[in-house]
Amino acid sequence: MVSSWGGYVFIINLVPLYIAYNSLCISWGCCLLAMQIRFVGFQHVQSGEHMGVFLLMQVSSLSTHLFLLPVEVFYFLDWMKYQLNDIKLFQTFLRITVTSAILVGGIALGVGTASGYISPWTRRFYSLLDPLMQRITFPLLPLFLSISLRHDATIFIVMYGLTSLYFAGVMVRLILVAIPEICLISAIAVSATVKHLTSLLRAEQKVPQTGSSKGPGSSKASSKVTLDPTQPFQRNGAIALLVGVFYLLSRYAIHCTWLRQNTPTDAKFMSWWDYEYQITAMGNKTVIVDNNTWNNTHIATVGRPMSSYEDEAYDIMRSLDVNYVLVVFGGVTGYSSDDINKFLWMVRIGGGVDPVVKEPDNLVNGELCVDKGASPKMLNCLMFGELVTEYGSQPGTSTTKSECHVLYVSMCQKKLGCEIVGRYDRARGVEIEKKYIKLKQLEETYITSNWIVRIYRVKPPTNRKPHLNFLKGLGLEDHDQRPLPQCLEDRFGRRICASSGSHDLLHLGGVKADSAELQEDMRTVKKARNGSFRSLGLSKPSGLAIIVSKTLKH
Amino acid sequence: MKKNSSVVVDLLLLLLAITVLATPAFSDLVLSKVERRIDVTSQIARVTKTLKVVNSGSESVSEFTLTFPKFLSNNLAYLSVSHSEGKGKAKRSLANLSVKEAHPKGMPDLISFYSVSLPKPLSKGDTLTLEVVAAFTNVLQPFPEKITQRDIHLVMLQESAQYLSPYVVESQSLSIKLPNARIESYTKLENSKVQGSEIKYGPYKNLAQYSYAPIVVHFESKAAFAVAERLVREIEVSHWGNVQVTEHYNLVHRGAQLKGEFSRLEYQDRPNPQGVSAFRHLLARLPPRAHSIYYRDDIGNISTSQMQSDSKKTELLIEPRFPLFGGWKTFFTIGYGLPLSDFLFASEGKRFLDISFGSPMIDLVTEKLIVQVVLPEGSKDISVTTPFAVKQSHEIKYSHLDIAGRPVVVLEKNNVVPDHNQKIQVYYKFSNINLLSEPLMLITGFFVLFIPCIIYTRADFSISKSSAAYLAKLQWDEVHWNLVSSTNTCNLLIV
Repeated sequence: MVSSWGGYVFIINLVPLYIAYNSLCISWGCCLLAMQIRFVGFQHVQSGEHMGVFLLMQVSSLSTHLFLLPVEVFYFLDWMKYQLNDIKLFQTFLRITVTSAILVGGIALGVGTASGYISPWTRRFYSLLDPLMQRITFPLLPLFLSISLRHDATIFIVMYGLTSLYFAGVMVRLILVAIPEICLISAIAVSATVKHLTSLLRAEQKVPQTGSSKGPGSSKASSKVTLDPTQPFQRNGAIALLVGVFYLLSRYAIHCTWLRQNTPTDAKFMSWWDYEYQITAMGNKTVIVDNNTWNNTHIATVGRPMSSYEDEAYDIMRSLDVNYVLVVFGGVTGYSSDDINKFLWMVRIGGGVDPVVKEPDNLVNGELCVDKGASPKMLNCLMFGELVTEYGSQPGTSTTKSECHVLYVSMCQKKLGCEIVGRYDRARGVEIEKKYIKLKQLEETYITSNWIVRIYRVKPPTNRKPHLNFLKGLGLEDHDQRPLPQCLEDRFGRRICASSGSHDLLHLGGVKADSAELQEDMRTVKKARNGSFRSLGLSKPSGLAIIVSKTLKH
Repeated sequence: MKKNSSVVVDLLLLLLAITVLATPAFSDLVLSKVERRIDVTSQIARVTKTLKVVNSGSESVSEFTLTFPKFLSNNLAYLSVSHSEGKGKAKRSLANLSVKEAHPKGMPDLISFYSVSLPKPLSKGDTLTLEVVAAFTNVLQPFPEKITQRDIHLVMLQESAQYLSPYVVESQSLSIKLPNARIESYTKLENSKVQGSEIKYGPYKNLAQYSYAPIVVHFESKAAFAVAERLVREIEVSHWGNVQVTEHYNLVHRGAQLKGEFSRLEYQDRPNPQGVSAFRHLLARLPPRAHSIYYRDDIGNISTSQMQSDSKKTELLIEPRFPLFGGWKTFFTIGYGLPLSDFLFASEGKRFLDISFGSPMIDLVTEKLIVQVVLPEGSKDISVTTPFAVKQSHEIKYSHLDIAGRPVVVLEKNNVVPDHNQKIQVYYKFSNINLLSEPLMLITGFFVLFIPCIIYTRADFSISKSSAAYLAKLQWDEVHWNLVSSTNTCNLLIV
């Protein structure tokens, strides 16, 4: 397996590198241990990818056992040193030997390549050495720390780290090789940081103790000791950092406790599939899809309501028997892997199965955005509505706030509610465009204190009676106040399911009958239905338009 | 709402029953003075009564009867009666008197009777002062029953302005202590007045037997209506020096239920936060020298807790993972270790564990409390003393290296209030030799494992070193080794 997989190339190169380092420092123990890696075969020696920092070693290995050579060489050197008994003479000898070895190695490699014995270096090899392919940044701090610690073991970590990170940056598959390294260096970084912080804390605690032990006579001297102004600041900073790290870590799973305890045992949760394992395992609730769902259609069923208008989404959620919807929003804390950043995938997967969801509708110039340039579809779809509800909209509160909440960057009072100037999405670094969103068929039931996880309850359907009356007379009344019914029968006894934005019934609230927006929508519907649609009525007072296509379900 | 209306019906029936009652079935005692104080600053209604009893009859009396309306006595969690002697500063409380539930014949179901046996028969003309403490749960009914996050939390208390008693009351007064001065409404009777956050009724003079004047007080309560639906306290005694207490809480907010949305924005609004009906913190007052304290739940450690300790107490302030609104539930576990020497004592050849019964949480009502006292393996002659009646049973728990299992005393009690936080004593016999059984068992186990190993490695199981078979094997090994090495050399040369 190792010979078929590229990772072996990496390891087989790293080991001689390390051995070489160690043998220069004459620390044999590690060297012998490192050589315990099993010999696999000659295939890799023959391939050019088994490139040569230490060509010498490899070429020579054709004639003797691969890993025994360095030991022999350095025992030999030791012996030579002893024999020559003069450092200068020894150095000259070493220089000549190394140069000739490299020369011999080079020639052998050249001959080998030319004769075809060593296979030519592939494109993959060259691409690995191309720094332009580098995509990730190095975790510099831990590497710096391990370099500064500087003993034999850390040198190995540094070498391993630099090379593995470099190659992982070039080829994603090699991240697998880098993972142990990343674990190691992050552990070093965390432990070093905590160590420094705690030593700061301890240093501060000791000062007043020594001061008090001196008694009242030397109070002046003791006060001088504690006067260092940077110390309390450092200490507070250290405490804040330590507490902050653990606080943030503990916050994420809270929603699972909440939904485990405070939703009915048979509640069904819908969310994007990334979070469903948590809901099942920690929250003990039923979910629609989970992280192990392989069926694309299945996932698209969740993607579609997430990327639809609220009314349409509501019907889908009802048909899926969903009771709660869980979304993740990182705009407040700057948590970037939230649902808005994953929204592209909901649209893409949803649209891949159900062509009603169209990716271009949600994109502007091929990009997904939530600021002023956002597409109207994007601003109205369920997902977005859920995420920015309340964060974007804020009921009227007084402007004279001396102590502002972190969310209120600045605000000004207007007659109808409050217009927030600085409603800022920290995860994407833009200002949220749509500010007043009030979902009609979903209600917020829980938000974690860092605003990341939000849980919505799907309300039961509203009473349909007033709307039946409304359709009977086709006198269109004020509909901005209450949501349209989900399924109702019109005066012809036909059942109309789904109200605004759906295939059958288009409802545009608050749009003037002769407005360009409505005309545009009518054209869209006409196009979509191959010209077969019929306008049932236009409301006079509120300018509400209802367009029903001919393809009504019977 | 249904519950309220049924209570009103109850009250009417009670009045009816009282008017029907005219038979002086009880002795000729007279209550010369009754003072009642009802404290509703927490979720528990704590009623303190001072009764001055005079025997006006000719025979001596050894029993005294307490009465409560049925709708109150159904929620009675704690009742204790003590008597005090002397006057003024020399007054001192004496031991608690035994209280039994009584069912006198011919009395309506709407009144509950409790008979108190007096310390000594009260002869003619003698007086006695009784102190009655009663704690009721669930009598503060949230009204309205469902509120939104912005609403204030209003609760309702139903009581009687006059003291319901089978005896004639010469003078009585009632004061109700509310959490704050915000009173929505209260029943106005003669001699009723409001003083800040206190409502006073009376004094009322010369009340007949079974006098009853229903009152309803509707007021704001900011208290945490934290109720543990089920609390399991496991107290494990280890004679190596530790008493480990583990408490599993199933907590619910029993106040008015939250209706509509939960808005984090309003909840976190700094100058005027909404959602005062929710509570964030719970305070546990642990015994002094508690150590190794933890606070966790199914997911893992909960990092939001603070601890303060001094020589007298250890205070643990815990914050559940989310603020609890009406009807919301949470589950968590707290655990701590206590030094054995503070809780285990010896008396008359027996050892006894002296530890408090209830939860260390302040103002917490426990609907079902299960206390499991796990004694060390080999404990015998187990007996329990409790200051009040509890349901007792015995179990066996198997833990590390147990053979016979550890005896567990299980004590169960419903409707537990902080007044039940009294010491219980678990007596048992345990010999110190048993303490050594587990280490000895381990030592034996390892010994048994290693002895065969030692024997095996030292013994030579070959039949003879000079046998022909052994020599042949040596020869064969040599040939084989030569063969392999020469093949290797060939291979290398070919390569």
